[in-house]
Parts: sequence; C-alpha cells; structure tokens
Amino acid sequence: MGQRGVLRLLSGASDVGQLPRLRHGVTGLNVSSGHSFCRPRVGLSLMLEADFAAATQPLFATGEVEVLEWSFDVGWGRSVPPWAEQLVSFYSQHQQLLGHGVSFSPLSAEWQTRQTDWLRQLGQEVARRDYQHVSEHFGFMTAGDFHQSAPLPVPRTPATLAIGRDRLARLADTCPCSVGLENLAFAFGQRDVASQGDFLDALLEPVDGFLLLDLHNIYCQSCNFDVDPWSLIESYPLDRVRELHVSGGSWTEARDGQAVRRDTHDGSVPALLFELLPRVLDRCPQVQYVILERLGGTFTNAEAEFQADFRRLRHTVETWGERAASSSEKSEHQP
Amino acid sequence: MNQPPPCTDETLAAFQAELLELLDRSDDPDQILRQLQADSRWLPLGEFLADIEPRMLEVAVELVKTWGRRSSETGTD
Repeated sequence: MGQRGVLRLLSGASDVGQLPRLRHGVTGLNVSSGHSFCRPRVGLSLMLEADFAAATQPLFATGEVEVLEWSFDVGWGRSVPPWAEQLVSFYSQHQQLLGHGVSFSPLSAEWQTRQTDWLRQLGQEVARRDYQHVSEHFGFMTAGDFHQSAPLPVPRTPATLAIGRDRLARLADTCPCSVGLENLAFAFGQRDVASQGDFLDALLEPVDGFLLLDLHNIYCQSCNFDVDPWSLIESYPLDRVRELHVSGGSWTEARDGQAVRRDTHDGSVPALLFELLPRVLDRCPQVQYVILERLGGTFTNAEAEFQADFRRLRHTVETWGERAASSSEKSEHQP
Repeated sequence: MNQPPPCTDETLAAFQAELLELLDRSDDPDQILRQLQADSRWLPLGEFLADIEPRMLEVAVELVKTWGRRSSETGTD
C-alpha cells in the first residue's frame, strides 16, 4: 500500500471517529526520499486510540512523521485497528519502524514461561516486520504472582547485572537488529538516580546495545531529587544513545506535601526539554531517532498542543542539523 | 565492619515478589519500608533499602495498584 492508501485509511477508518479530511496537494510521507539525513529523524510513538489517530492525521498527511515507533507487544493478543496495522506496515516497508517492548521485564530475577512466550512472539514479530532496532525498559515489572505492573528500579548487585545481561543476550539472539534499553523515570532514592547510567552501560556492553535516552524521564528524576538535569544526562553512556524520547507528564503531591513529577505522558512537553535538546544532540554522536510520546486517550482538547509540540521538536532537530552540517562543512575546508 | 551477605538470584527473585506484594497490599509507605528493613532475608540489599524514600514508595504503591495484574486472578501464567 502506498502513502496515499495509508492516509486514506487513517482518514476514513470508521473506528477512529471524526478525522480531518486530507488536504489537496499532500506532499506525502518523506520516509523513502533517499535523502542523506545529517540529523536524526523525528517521529511518533504509535497509540491505538481513536484520539491519537485524529490528532496525528494532519502530521502524517503532510509527511512530517519520518519514523514510527511501535510497542509491538501491546498489539499481541488483541485487535489492532486497520489504520494502525497499515501505518506499521508502511513504515516497516520504508525501513523506518522502531520496536519498543513494554512487557518483557528484562530485570525480573526469576525467568518465567511468560518471558519465553514473549521472546517466541518477538521472533515472529521481527520476521514479519523490518524493525530498525528493538528496545525495552530498564527495571522489573513482573515477579511472584504479578505478570504485569509498572517498571521499578532494581538493586545494583552483581546478581542483578548477570540477570540483566542474560536477558539482553536472549533479546539480542532473537532480533536481527540492535537491541537497547530505555532509562527509567521512577527512582526510589538519590543513589538509585546516580547509579543508573553506569549500570545501564554495564548491562548493554556485552551485546553492544544502545541506550534509548528518555529526556522526560531525566526531567522527572531531576525534579524529584533536585539534581541538575545536565549533570544527570552526563552520567549516562551518551556514546550509546541511538534514540531519544521526548514527552510530557504531570505533577502529584505526596503526603508530605512535596510535589512529585510523574512520567504520565499526558501533558505538553516541558520547555526545558526543548532547550536541552540541541546540547543533548551535540553530545550523542550516534543518535538517529527522536520520538515524541503521548498516551492515547489524552488528546481531547489537546490536538493543537500536541501538534505544536511535534512541530517544535522537528524544528529544533532540523535547526540543530543545519548547524551541525554547516560546522562539518567548515571543518572539512580547513587546511 | 561486617560485609552483608552476597545477593543471590533467589534472594533477588524473592525480594521482587515481596516488594510487589507489599506495594499492592499496603497504603502506608513508612510501614512498607519498616517491614522490608526489618526482614533478615533482605540483608544483602541493605544499601538499596537505605536509599528508598517513603514519598517515592508512595508513588510505587499507586503504580502497582494501577498497573499490577495477578496471575492468580487472571489465570495468566
């Protein structure tokens, strides 16, 4: 299916409610232009809810979404709307699809049948679609009676490291592409925050894995533990970063009255993240993708805000790319 | 000063299961922390437990209550 077919499907799908009609003269998706990018590609994390389809349709229609991230395990065992299936297939065909698992739980200490099944399904997934890389989340979310929860931090012990390396090796054995881990937003304490970067580096080293650096997760830890965000960023193995995540979140108040920043993916992107982004790109020479995340079901009355965030993100990356290209040209011409 | 015993895979697995249980069953972060710190099985994890802030345990309680699913209730392995 070509780009117009995908866009028609996105526009006309009966299960996505009222969507804006396509404009005439759509320039199309730029994912297969063959243009040599000297900057990371900018894209979206796919959600299955109708309000995501409505809010993003103008971005897909104008060809602004250069890469798509898909949490493939969200789609296992459930019905995926046809428009979402077609988007995934389209970006796969153009080698601009990223995989981002949410339920493997790579740091669960006890190996479970559930994880064996997960890897088997992942094997089928990567045989069916052309993922550029596959990532998962740092932390554990399953143990004992729980087959699902939220990713939580782990003690930094040699046993934890060996378990994590084993799980990443299994992930790498299953995937024909690079595998990586995303830094965690939630932390229990100061030492947890300070040690995550080094621990991730040690986990990723044997498989030469990549780091998916989530800037809002950094922002959460910076706010919650009063740490300078830049010094926190510098505590991560930045040479390993292949992908950046950018999103918004929310504030809650703990019983002691302290505000806690949460990675809820339901708000606009904090201005600070846009300010940090060019500096982060300067320091991450391998970064190839920048993805904006927002949870499905949170777009009501926020479509314009989301589209503005996406366009600001893309503009920031483009401006950075122009500057980087210009600097590179100048250095090439120096004697 | 005595070194804590090394953490084994079994200790870590039991600790992760216990932590999720406590976060799901209790609403009191101070009580959860006291209970974890008083349990001799978690001596190898003393440094990790000493770092935990109750306000963040409060968030973890909410996370597990929101997203946690038990195999015994859903029939999932």
